[in-house]
Amino acid sequence: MQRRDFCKWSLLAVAAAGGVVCTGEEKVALNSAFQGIFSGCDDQHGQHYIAYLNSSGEFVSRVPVPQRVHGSVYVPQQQLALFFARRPGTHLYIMDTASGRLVQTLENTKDRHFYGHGVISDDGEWLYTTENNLSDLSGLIGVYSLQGTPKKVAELSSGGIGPHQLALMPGGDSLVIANGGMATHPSSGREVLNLESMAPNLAYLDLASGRVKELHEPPHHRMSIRHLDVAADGSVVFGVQHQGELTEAVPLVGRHRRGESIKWLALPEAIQLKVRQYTASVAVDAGGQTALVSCPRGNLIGCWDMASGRFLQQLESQDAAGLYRAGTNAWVSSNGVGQVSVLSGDHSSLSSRPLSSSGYRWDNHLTVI
Amino acid sequence: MALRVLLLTVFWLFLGSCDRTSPEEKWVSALSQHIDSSYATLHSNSQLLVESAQAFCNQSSDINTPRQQWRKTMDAWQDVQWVRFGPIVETNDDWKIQFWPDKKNIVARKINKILDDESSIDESVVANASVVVQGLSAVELLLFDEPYVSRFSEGNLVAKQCQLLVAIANNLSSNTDKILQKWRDPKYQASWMASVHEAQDGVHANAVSDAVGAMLTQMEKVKTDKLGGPLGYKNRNRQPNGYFSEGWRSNSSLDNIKINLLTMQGLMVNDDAYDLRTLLESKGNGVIADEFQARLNDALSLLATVDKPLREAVMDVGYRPQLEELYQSIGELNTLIKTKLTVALGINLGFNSNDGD
Repeated sequence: MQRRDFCKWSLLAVAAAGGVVCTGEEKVALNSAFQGIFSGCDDQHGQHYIAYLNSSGEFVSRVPVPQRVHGSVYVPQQQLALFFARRPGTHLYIMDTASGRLVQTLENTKDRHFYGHGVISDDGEWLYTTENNLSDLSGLIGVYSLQGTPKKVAELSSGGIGPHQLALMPGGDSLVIANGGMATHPSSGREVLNLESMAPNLAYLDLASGRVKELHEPPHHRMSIRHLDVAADGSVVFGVQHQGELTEAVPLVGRHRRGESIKWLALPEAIQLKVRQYTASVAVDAGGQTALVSCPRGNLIGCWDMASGRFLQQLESQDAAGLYRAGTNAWVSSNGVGQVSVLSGDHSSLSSRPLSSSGYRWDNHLTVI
Repeated sequence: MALRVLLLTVFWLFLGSCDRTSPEEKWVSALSQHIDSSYATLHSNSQLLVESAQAFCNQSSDINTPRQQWRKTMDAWQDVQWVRFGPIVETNDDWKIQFWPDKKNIVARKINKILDDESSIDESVVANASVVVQGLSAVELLLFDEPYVSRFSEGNLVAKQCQLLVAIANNLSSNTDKILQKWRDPKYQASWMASVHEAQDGVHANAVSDAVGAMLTQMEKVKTDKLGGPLGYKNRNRQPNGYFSEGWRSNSSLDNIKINLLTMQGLMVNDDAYDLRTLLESKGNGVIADEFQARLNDALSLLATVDKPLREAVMDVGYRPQLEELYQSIGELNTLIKTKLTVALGINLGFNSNDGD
């Protein structure tokens, strides 16, 4: 990154934090205030990158990396962005956001690979990642110390096979984990080895004891729970990728509160068939009113009312990918055809405003700060 | 309507007369007319299906009349089934034409519920019901599945089942007309054509990547669902099951696959229009067209050796070798599309939608 670009970005970031972006001569009021965006992306030749965008959706930094990146997380205490390789990748890329540079590539330990997601503790001292134990294909949570040079200090059972996205519960004493249930091994690529015996679940792991304290299974064994988000009140919303027939009417979005059973959110038949059993990012807004789920195969983002579970609307987005909350009833979204947008508006009537468009294909997840 | 067709014709003539029209635009233009013609054939057959269903229910013909017309309508659908872009997908109309795979026999369950619950059935009942009962799969059940066929000749369900048959056919005819008109919408056509030269960065979707992506999706469906399903490849126990074939009730599964392959052949080589081979040759990649046709011919030859209905053939060990070879052969065709054809045309297929996590 050039010093000139960095100064320009810093000014924009300050402006955005105040709710106004200066774009040439006009000023555009934002419904949300955010400073930057992190995501993995590919160019049209298949080269993978880790990327840092400013609040206008412009590149601050874009660094080529050898493995395709899936999710990311920001460590504010150290101004680091961490990017996780998707399965069967073994890399964790660490970007210093002050310089925009890749400062470290952490290779996972022997017989382990990442699943593309991680989360940090509230104090920024611990990192938890979803990983595959290649010796028995069991799901693991890698525990890393972020004090000094990041290093793995422990491994915990995730409570299932194929753990994918995870999140820290409010209070910071437990993790919620989407155990997708799908066994894969790098020797057979991304082929699912246990279609008939899959046992996906939503698990809560107590960090003090390192044990799973609560576990919930979906009604069909091929309903792979993959992505989730946690509202401020502790409600977990999750998305399913169903490994069965396209015509099977299984629920694809669920909501859960600890100690209760899963509540499945309504899905109109037309949307059910259009999304082809596949959901990607899940994001609840800061106010906890609305849940959004991106559906790349349906080229849409579905919106649900958190309180009633009612389906509210769909927003069109070609190859819809990343979603992340950016305020009350406000999100940043990305897609596989290079677009980054802000979604905002009234609870029951959201609209999309383009931020930027480029020749880079955004992977399924992004992080907003 | 006539004005629309005239405007569209003028639009294409204008494009055709323009010297600077790129090979991609010429192919997309020809493709648009080809799809228009296929949708029109589907609609006209759907109308004839209404008439044949009415004739049968008026007792002026036997059940073979609507059965034959159902086959012609299904053939027309199989010819255009590959088009998974444009208005038909945006409004989910493809599911209204055919609901399949149906491993749990949902079509029968929903049809039975309508027959049980409704005192009188017309087109609006079907249009407001689930997509499951709106299309060709539901008509196939009524015309070919024994318990339903018997009820047409005896019992007190004759009248209601006839109402349902005609209502589904009417609804299908309305839907196919809607699909045709939406495809012909000059606004859609103009935007689809414009996408060809707007998206030069290889990332944004355009008409060429829409079409090639849809060709691949269709052939993956033929391999994985239409062949792999009944061969048992979708189940861990890998046990074949003839009832997982697409047209097991009417024994039309192999005809469907044959039409799907011939449609691909027609897209590659069409003597009457600018075809995919000509587009590839314009880029010095005619050899890929040769390879594509060779793979298709292999598949068609193997298919011709299967001389009993797919439902029975998958259960007969004597037929396994050629069915497995056919499965592999279509897999090779798909690899060719994914690797060589896309590169030759400079396009990328969906990113997260094809290969997400």
